[in-house]
Amino acid sequence: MSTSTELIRLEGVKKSYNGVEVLHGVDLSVNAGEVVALLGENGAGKSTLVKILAGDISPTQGKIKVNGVEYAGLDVYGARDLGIRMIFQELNDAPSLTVAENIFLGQWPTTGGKIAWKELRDKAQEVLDRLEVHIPLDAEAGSLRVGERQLLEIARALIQNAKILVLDEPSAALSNIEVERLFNVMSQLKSQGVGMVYITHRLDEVSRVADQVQVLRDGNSVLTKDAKDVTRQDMVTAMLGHEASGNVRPVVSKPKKVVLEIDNLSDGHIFKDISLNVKEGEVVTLFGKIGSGTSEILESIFGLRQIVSGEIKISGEIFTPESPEDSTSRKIGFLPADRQRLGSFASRSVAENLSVSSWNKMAKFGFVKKETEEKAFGRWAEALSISARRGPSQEIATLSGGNQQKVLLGRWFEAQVNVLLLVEPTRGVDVGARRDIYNIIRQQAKESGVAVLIATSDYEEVVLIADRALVISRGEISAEFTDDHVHASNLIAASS
Amino acid sequence: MEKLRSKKVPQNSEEGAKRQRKIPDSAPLIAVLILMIMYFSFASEYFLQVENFRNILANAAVTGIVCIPSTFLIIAGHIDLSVGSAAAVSGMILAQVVNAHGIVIGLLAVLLFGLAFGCFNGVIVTMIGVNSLITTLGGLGFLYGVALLIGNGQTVGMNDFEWLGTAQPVGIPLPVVIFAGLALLGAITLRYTKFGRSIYAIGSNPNAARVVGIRSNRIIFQTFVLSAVASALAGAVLTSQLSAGSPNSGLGLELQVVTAIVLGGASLAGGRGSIFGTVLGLLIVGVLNNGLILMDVPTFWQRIAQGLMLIIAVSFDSIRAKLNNTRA
Amino acid sequence: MKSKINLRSAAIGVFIAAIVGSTMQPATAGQYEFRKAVPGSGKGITIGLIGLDDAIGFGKDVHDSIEREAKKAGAKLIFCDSKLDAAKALNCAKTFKLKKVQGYLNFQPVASASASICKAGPKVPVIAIDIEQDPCQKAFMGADNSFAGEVTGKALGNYFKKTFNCQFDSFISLEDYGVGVVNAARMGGYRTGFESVCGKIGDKLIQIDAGRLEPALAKMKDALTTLPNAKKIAVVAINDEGIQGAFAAAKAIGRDGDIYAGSQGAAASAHCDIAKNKNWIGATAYFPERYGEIGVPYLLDLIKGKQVPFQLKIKHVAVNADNVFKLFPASKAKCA
Repeated sequence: MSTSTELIRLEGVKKSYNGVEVLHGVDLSVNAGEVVALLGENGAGKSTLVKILAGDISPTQGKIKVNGVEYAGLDVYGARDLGIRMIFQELNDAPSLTVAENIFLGQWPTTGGKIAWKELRDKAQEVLDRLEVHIPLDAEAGSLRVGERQLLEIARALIQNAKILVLDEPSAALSNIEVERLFNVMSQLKSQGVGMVYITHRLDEVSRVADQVQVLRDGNSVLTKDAKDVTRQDMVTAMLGHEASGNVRPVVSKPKKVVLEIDNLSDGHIFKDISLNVKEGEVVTLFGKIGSGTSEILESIFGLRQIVSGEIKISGEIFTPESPEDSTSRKIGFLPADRQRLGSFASRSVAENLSVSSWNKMAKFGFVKKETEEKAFGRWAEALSISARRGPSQEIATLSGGNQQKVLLGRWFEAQVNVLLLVEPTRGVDVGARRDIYNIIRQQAKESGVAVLIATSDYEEVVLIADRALVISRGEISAEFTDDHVHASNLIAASS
Repeated sequence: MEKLRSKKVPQNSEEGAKRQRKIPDSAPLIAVLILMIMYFSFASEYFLQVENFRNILANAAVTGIVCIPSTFLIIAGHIDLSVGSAAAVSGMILAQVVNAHGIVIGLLAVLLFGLAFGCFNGVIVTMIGVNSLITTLGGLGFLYGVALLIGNGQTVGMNDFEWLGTAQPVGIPLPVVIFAGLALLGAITLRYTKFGRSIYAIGSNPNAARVVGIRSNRIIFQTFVLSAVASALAGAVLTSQLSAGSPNSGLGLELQVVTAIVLGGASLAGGRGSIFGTVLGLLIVGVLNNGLILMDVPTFWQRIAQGLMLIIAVSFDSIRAKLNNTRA
Repeated sequence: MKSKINLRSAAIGVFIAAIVGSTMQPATAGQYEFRKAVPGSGKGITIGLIGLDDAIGFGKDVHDSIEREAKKAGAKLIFCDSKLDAAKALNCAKTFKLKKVQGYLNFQPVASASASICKAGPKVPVIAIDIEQDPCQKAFMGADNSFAGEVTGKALGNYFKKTFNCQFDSFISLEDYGVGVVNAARMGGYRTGFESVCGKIGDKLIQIDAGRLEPALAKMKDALTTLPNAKKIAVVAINDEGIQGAFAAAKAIGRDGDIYAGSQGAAASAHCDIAKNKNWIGATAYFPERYGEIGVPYLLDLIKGKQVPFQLKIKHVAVNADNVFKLFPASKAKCA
């Protein structure tokens, strides 16, 4: 691979916002047929770097060479012309159009003003074949799985003659099978000479897919190595700037009093006969692959989805979830997987986002004091290490994903709920913030006695946080592990 | 994009410094308003007179009364287009009932109409689940018909009830006093109460609002009732000013209201807006209309200027948003 | 916003039909001739006009004529558009007070709001246009609906007398009940005029609520269907539009030769039809484009303290194919 041609070379790239430098002279090199894994915690400068590559923003200083030609700066159109394409975690497709139409989105081939359907279908089929992806051309994009839709985006980039693909955390929302498929596609692309920059938080993916590893920390490039020469520990150390502790099991608590009890819960099609309990101060995880039904179970307990049979008891009392409003008044908290859609109030301050579920408690004659909210935020900002540079009044949308998630978590701690339901609590959250989140969940469970039930598809998460682990496979509980039996191989075996 | 993860909560002083750098939402509006006042002061000798400002405020007051709850609705991601027709109907009712049964019963009848119509809108939007734009567009149409029906297509004169529209306690027109009171109340509610903050939350993310336990439907329902009651009050004030109820008196009110609110920085997508902004928007529109009349600008050109003004002011707002984003 | 425009046009429809003399004055003998303003007669004088709505043809014509005459007289005119809205008219009155106008013409549409408007405005002479402005109007200028009806009714009667010796099959009256007193005055005027020539109409009268274009088009077809053998039908309508609709309906079933029509308005939009269609016997002109020739000179008289008769009625003329281009020379080129 070392003989292959260099497609892109960034040299000494610096970027400042308002006089604050966020990139301090970073180099990056991508060869044809090579994957560079770009790692770093949120805020390390990854997004800034790839935005420069895509022509979204221009560097304050530094050189950009594409195919050996130096450019003072790229704009979006220039970058497109050079074959640089971004694939984002968020989908940019038109859900109501077909697969074939989406592959050509906005660039449909025409003959005499009319869309040339035959040409469109032939070419779409050709590019899907090239990726070894089998999706019917006439299916509506909206009916596909997230992973498949992401592959459509890659197909679209190829139709537009992409030479360099920048993949920004494409695997974050994918199931294991879908990730496998993505890797297959990537190796196809490699053999066809496409260069790729792959951003991820999942370290185990690096050795699978990358040729080169580059780690950014605080706007500096701190590690650039061949992927085969780098260990997991190297990467973590480089990202954090210090050594991280391994996957150590927490000290398990053994409480008595049952807070949440579920008996034979079924929703009629996704899960059935789920029985479990969560005791005071206990953290229980429901582990399963994406699509296995773990998140649907939690949504049903919270009243976001209908159930057809079964019983839920809260502290011994029967509870029929009718609506989220009912559930919150029964002191049940819910952290959704989809932060943007169900969690945060984007245009509102972090203090308000944190306090919103506690307004009933905070209000005097219907008035909620700003100071009360800011005090609450101050408490949890410290406990959860939330960094909001502009303080309690900063809009939540301007925070990194990890910090947003901490605010949403703090929301339910502040509301002093008795039951906390968390769906994928660390999806899209960087390593450091992840550790903070685990610590605070365990600490809160211990101190306030909140019963925590977590739905997750991340086995590392289960190992790090669970007192007890239940495994869900095809909508049913397939195993329960406690103590030292909670480890990766057991979990994966039981979930498939 | 945060640069460093910090264990410390930011200090107040640092926060203050950051806040100063951010251009306040209302800055461009205040600038536009001041520029307009300066321009008209030079352009017309009549503009800078106490009497004229009294006129501007008295004119803005009727629209303003409706603007307060409408601001709530728009922040919550809803809209009430039936305000003009509701004002017309309440004016017709007031004129008829006052003539027959006196002022007290007349005002009660108007209040009752406002409550009933607000509940109607509330039920259709929150319980049946019809989009509020369509619901109130329907209301706009059928209430206009009702207004024509009440007076058989004619205006109805009203006897001896001018004080609501024309009284001037301490030299300030009563409608202006009412509007100022409502604006203050509205601003406090929106800013400091659970109710007001819930409105922002609902508009910002209706799905998340449910998840955090906000009773969205109840709040939207109540806001529709407020909107209808305010429309009824506006209709009553207008009718009292004219001593006559006219089915056409509220015609186009909904557009004036939406214009002022959006001009004031509210987003039709919900989640953003403020009473202060709305009041500024209202004043900008009011000063512009007044100034154009004082300058004897031909009416067709007045319409063109008013349309352009709206586009320019909203563009200013977008530019400000962009500036703030690149600085963040 | 589409619905708003629809509502608005509906409102305009009501007003267009209602504006001209919506408050009936007992008909008096005097019809006042138009008098051109005397150059210099308004020097140093500021007058105001509260307009009906410049977006309506009739209102714009009145506005333009007043502006033209004011300019001729050398007076300064301050125009303020009520846009069919009494609240805006109220604001106009306040502005007039601020600007110290010495007299104004008021064409705002809501008669019952006039007291509030008078009170808010300056205490100067006021001439009401077509709509009463109590209690401050010093004179009322405008149309005489009943007389206007008689003018065309008589013309239609004379035609039937000359051509058919006053034989007629039916007398169809396309009315607009929505405008109440105006309708009664106009339609009654037609009958009075016609009967004064050809005698009683009696049970040959057919009244249809179809004053505007679309309803006239639809209902006139039905009416003709019920009169299959009639060849001598008199048709009158509350305004030009109704007759345009009636002819369109008759033409559609090949019977436009069977009807003989009279209307009121003689608006510019009807001039071509009146000139070409020999069966359109007459249309009473209201001359909005000449309102200024009464309004401006008499208002200046009032400001100078001269006595002015209270009723200033527009002189109504029956317009027909022979005189239409003489009365409205500007239309000739448009119809060619």
